[in-house]
Parts: sequence; C-alpha cells; structure tokens
Amino acid sequence: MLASTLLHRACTVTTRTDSGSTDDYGNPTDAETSLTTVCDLQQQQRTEPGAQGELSDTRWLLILPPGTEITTRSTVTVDDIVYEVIGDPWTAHLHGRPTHVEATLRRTGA
Amino acid sequence: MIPDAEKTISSYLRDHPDVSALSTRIVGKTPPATAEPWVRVTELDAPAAAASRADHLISFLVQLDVYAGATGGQPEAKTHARTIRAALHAMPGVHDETVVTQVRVIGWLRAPDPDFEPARDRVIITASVIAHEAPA
Repeated sequence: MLASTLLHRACTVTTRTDSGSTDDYGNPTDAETSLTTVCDLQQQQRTEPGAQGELSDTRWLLILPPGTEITTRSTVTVDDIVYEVIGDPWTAHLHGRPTHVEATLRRTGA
Repeated sequence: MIPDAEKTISSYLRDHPDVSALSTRIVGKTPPATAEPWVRVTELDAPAAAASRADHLISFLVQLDVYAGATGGQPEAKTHARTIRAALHAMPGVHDETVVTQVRVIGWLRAPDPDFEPARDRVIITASVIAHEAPA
C-alpha cells in the first residue's frame, strides 16, 4: 500500500552471501545478488569521527516495498552512492499486513 | 632545531619508486575521500636519543597507518604495509635537511579501522627513526 504510492527513487539492493570458498587469508569470499527496486531515503544523522580529519559519517533511513529481500550483509546503491546496511532490517505492519521494510544505512567517507 | 620527521618520512615515501608504484597517498591526516588507499604518518614521540647531546640526535617514534582502499581489503593493506616497511629500512641517509641514521620497525599490528563501515583494512606500523638535522 505505502510502497506502491510513495516510493519513487530507484535503488539497487546488493546482498552478500557466502560463496563457499575462501581467499588467501582464509576469509570466506562473498557471492553477491542484486535486486533493483524503488525506495525512499532520508538522512538521520551526520557527523565526523574524532581524530579522523574531515571524514564524513552519515546514517540514513531506507524504506523499501514490503517483502524486499535485504539483510545486514546488504549494500544499497542510490544515485550511484553505495550505503552499508546496519543491522537486520524490519518489516512494518499495519492491521496485521506488511506495509514496508525499514533499514538503517551508514556511509563513511566521500 | 630538531628535524621534522613527519615531513621527511612522508617526502621520502612519496619519492620512493616502490611506494609510488602503489598509487597510495602519504598524508598527515585522514583524507576526506577514502575510496583510494592512503598512509597516515603521525609522530608519537621525539625524545633525545640516549648518549646524544641535548636535542641533536633525536629518537622519533612514528606511527604509519597503512589503509587499504574501499575495495582492496586485507590483501591491499598487507601488500602496502610490507612495501612501506621495506622502504623504511632503506631510509637511512641524507634527506634534504635531515640525516637519518637508523630506522627500526618496532610494532606491526593489523587492525581494521571501525570508524569506517565496513571496517577498513589497515596495518599499523610503529617505527623508531633516529635522525638529526643536516649540517648547514
């Protein structure tokens, strides 16, 4: 309901999963799947960490259509800018029906 | 005056062919644009070296934070750090206004930086650099 009427920004959700192999250091390598959808993106916080010069650190609220596959291992690309998902997203409900998915995003650096 | 170790080390590393081939940046503070790799050089201490007359031979303690770029990960951080370390060991000699008499790496820590999301791969090198001002 909400998604179909209010979400207009194009975005790509890229979700990492274990590929089953490891790199030279023994770290699991990622396999990526991408999903193009619509969203809304709102900035919630902006700061600069101490002792890091002018390093930008921003947090964002992402709203996606209900049922969108996204996890804490996902990244979201909006207008060619890549954001990292922080924590598992949440599906909001109204009268028992899912209305949208909310995710917290973080972007550091320019 | 005592030498400017940060300036001397940064200039030396920028001009070193093996380091310049890495396309990393040698800086004094974290750059705003962090997609490409960089090395942050910080003086931690600068006491007079033992047995030196006051403030002639200085024992600099220098930290080099060797960062990978956004996509380089652990392999890039390690390769850059090993290259920087090798360059440091070749540093003793005359560098403009500074004479470096000895460089010894005394610390080596792989510590991803959690100020970034995801945590950015980084190797922290701590080096002892013995130096004095070049004679006029």
